[in-house]
Amino acid sequence: MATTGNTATAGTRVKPSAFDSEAWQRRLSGRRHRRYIPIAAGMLMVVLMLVCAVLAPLISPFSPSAQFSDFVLQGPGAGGRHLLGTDEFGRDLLSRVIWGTRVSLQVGLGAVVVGFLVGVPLGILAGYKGGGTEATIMRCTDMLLAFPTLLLALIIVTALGGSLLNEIIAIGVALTPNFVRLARSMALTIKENDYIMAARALGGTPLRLMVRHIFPNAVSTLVVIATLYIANAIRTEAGLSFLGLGVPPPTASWGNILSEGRQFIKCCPWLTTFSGLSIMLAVLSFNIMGDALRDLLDPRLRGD
Amino acid sequence: MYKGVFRLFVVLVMQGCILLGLFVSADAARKKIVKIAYKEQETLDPHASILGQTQSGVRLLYRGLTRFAIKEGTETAPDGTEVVRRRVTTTEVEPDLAESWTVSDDGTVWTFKLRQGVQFHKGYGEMTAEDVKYSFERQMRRERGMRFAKNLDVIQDITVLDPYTVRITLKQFDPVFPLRMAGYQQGYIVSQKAALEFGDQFGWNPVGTGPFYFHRHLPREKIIFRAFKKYYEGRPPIDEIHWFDVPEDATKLIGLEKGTFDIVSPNIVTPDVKEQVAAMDAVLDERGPGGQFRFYFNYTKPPFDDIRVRRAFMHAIDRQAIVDTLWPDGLGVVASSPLPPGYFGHVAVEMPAYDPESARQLLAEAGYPDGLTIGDYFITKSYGYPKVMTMVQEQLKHVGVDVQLQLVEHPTYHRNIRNNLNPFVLYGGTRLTDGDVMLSLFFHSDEAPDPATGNKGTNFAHYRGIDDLLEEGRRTRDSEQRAALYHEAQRRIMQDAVCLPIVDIPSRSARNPARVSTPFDPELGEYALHYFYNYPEMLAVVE
Repeated sequence: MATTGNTATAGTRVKPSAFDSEAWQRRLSGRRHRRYIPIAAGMLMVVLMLVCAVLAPLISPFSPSAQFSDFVLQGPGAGGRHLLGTDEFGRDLLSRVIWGTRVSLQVGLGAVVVGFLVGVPLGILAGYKGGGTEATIMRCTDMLLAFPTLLLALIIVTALGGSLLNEIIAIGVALTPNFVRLARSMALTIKENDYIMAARALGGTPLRLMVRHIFPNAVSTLVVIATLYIANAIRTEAGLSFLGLGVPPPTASWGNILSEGRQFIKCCPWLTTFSGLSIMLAVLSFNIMGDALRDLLDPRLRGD
Repeated sequence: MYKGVFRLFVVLVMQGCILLGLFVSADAARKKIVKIAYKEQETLDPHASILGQTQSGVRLLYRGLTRFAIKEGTETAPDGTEVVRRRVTTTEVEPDLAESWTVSDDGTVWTFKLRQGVQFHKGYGEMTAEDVKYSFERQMRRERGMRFAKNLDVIQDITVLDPYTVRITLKQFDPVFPLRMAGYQQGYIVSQKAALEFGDQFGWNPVGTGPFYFHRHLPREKIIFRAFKKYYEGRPPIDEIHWFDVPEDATKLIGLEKGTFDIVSPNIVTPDVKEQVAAMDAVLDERGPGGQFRFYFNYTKPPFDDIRVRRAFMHAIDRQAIVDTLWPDGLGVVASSPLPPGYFGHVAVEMPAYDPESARQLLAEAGYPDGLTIGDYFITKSYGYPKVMTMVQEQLKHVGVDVQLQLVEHPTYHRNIRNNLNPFVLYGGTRLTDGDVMLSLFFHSDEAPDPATGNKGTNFAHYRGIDDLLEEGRRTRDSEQRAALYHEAQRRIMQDAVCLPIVDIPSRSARNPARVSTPFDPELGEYALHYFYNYPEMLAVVE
C-alpha cells in the first residue's frame, strides 16, 4: 500500500516514444487518481459500517434479542426471512450482526478517543519538557507497553466488570502508551523548529506553545495513526467479547456471536463465518483507510 | 579411536531405543485402556470436593459400606402417564463393604458386619472397622477441607466392636441412614493409615478399596488409574483408565470421532449433540436423575416478598420454549415438581402455566404497572446457566421486566448468590436421591444462606414453609407415610410460589461402542447417579 505509486510505474512497461503522447499524459493523471482507490474503498466500507451502526433499529429486520423458538439454529435463508440464519436461541443472525456493528464502532472509536485524549497531552508534555517529567511519563508508558493490548485490556475489564463503557475505558487505556510515544516523538521534532523558537522569544508560555504550536503541527499525523488503532481496538473488543468479558447479554457484539457460535462450528458454521467476516472486514477497511491516508499525507512516501 | 567408540555408543543407544520402543508398543497394545475426556479433579480425596468430575472420578478408587441397588423398576414416562419397565438406580441400598447389618428397634443403633479380606491399594493392608470409624470421624471433626460433614450430623457415636464389626449410634431415627452409608460423597471409606501418613497430601496419595488405584497425575493432561489386582470382587477387565483434562467440548467430540477418547462428558449438551454423536457411530449414555434447573425467589426481600410478583414471574417464564430451544428431542424434560422424578417422594404437582397476560396483570396489581428493573443480576458464564438466563431475560422483557445481566466466573456466582445479591436465583444440582435430603438442602430454613452468620446453604428462597413436614419425615418410619409428607411439601412449595422448576436434564456422556461396552443398554436410561460410572468394574473393553 505504501508504494502504490511506485509499483504502478514499475509495472507498466512503456516505450520511450509514448512518453510525450497525449494518451500517456492521460494515463499519468489516471494513475494519480488510482492512488485514491484504496482509500475510497476503505472509506466506503467505513461509511457503510457507520450507516449500519446508526440506522441499526431501522435496517435490521428483527430485534437482535427476539427469540423464535421454532427457528433454532437454522441456516441462511431459513423461513424466507432469516437471511443469514439463526443462532441457538432462534435469534436472527443478520440483525445481530448489524447491531454488533454498533458495539464494535462505539468501542473502536471510543477507545481511540480515550487513548488519544489521555496519550497525546502526556506525550507532548514529555517531548516538550524533557528531563524528569519525560523520564517519569516514558517509564510509566514503558511499563504499560510491557503488556500486549489484549492482555492489558483483559486485566482492566476483569477489575471493572464487563460493560460497554468499561470496555471503552479498558481498551482506551491499553492503547494510551502508543499515543504517548508517538506524540512525544512528534513533539521532539517539532520543538526544534525556528517558529517554536520565535514563539518562545515572543513570550509564549509553555502551555501556549504546546497547545497552539506543537499540537496543531502534529495532529494530522496523529489522527492518521489513530485510524489504524481503531482497527486494533475493534479486534481487541472482539477478543474480549469472545472471552466473555465484553458487553453482557443480550447485547450483540461480533465477538460474542463468534464465541457462542463456536460450540456449533460443526453443525452451524454460519454463526462463526458471518461474525468472523464482519470482524475481518471492519479491521481490513480501517487498516486500508489508515494506510492510504498515511501514504497520502506523508511527503516521504509520495510517489511523485 | 575416540570417534569409533562414540559411533559404537550411538549405535548401541539407538538399538536400545528401538528395542525399548518395541516393548513399550507391544505392552500398550496388550493393555486394555479406557480413555475418558472430562475435567481434571482438584483432589482425589473423596470427602473434600463436591465437583462433578471429582465425584465421578473417586468412584473408581473407593467403596462405601452400602451401594445403590440397581433393579428392574417401574417409572413414569416423560409424558407422565405411561409406565415403563427399566433398570433404575433405586433409592434402596445393597451390601458393599458391609456384608450385613442390623438395626435396633428404635432405629438408632446400626451394627455393620464388614466383609473380611478386603484389601486397600498399594499394600496398605486389610480394611477394618477402624478405617470405617476414621473415615466418618475425620468428616465429623470437620477437618480441613471436609465438605460433607453435614450429612453425618445425625451420628452420635461410632464404636469398633471388633475388627469386622462397627456400631454406629444415631442421635435420632434417620430414614435415609443406609443411603448416607452408600459409596457416594460422605460414604466412602479411606485407609486410616494412608490418610494419617499423608495428611494434607492425601488428595494426591489416595488409598481406597475400589477396583482401580491411582497411578500417576500429569497435571493439566491426564490422570492414570490402574486395575487393582486384589479388588475384593475380582480384578476389573480394564487395565488402565486414562482420565484426560479437556476443557473444550468441541475438542472432546473431535477426540471421540478420531479415537483419541473412548468416553467423553460434555459440559453443555447442545441441541445437535444427538446428530453429532450418531454421525460418528457413537452412543449417548444417560444417567439420572440428573440436574434440575430452577429459580428460587427470595421471598424475604422486595420485590418478591409479594406473592403476586412471584406468580407474575412464574407466568412470564415459558418453560416449554426453554426446553424446546435448549434441550430439544427429549434431551431435557419440562420439570413437573421441585423434587425431580427418581427421588424418593416425588410426585408431579401443578405447575404455573405460561401466561404473559396474567403476568402483566399481576405485576400491575402489585404496584408495577410499568414493569420493573432488576439491575446487576449476576449469572455465571459456565454450563447452561447463561443460556437459560438469556432466554428468561427476553421472556421477562415481554411483561415489562428488565433484568440487567452481569456475567461472572462460576466461583464468584456461588459466592454472590450465597450473599443474597440476586433477588431470584437460578440453580441446578443433584443430591442424594431422597426427598428428605433434596428438600432439606434446598427448602429447610436451616439452609438459608446468610453472610452475617456465614451460612452457605442453598435455600435461596429463604423458605420456612415445610420445616414441619421435613422434621416429621425424619421421625416417620413408614415409607408410604413419609412419601405422603414429601408430596405435601412439593405442593406447598408451589402454592407459596417460592420456586419455579424449569427442566430435568439427565447427565450424559458419549461413548464409542466399538471400544467400550457396558452391560447397560443406553436405552435403559437412568441407571446411576451423576458420577461417571456407578459400577466401573462392569465396564468392558471390546476386543
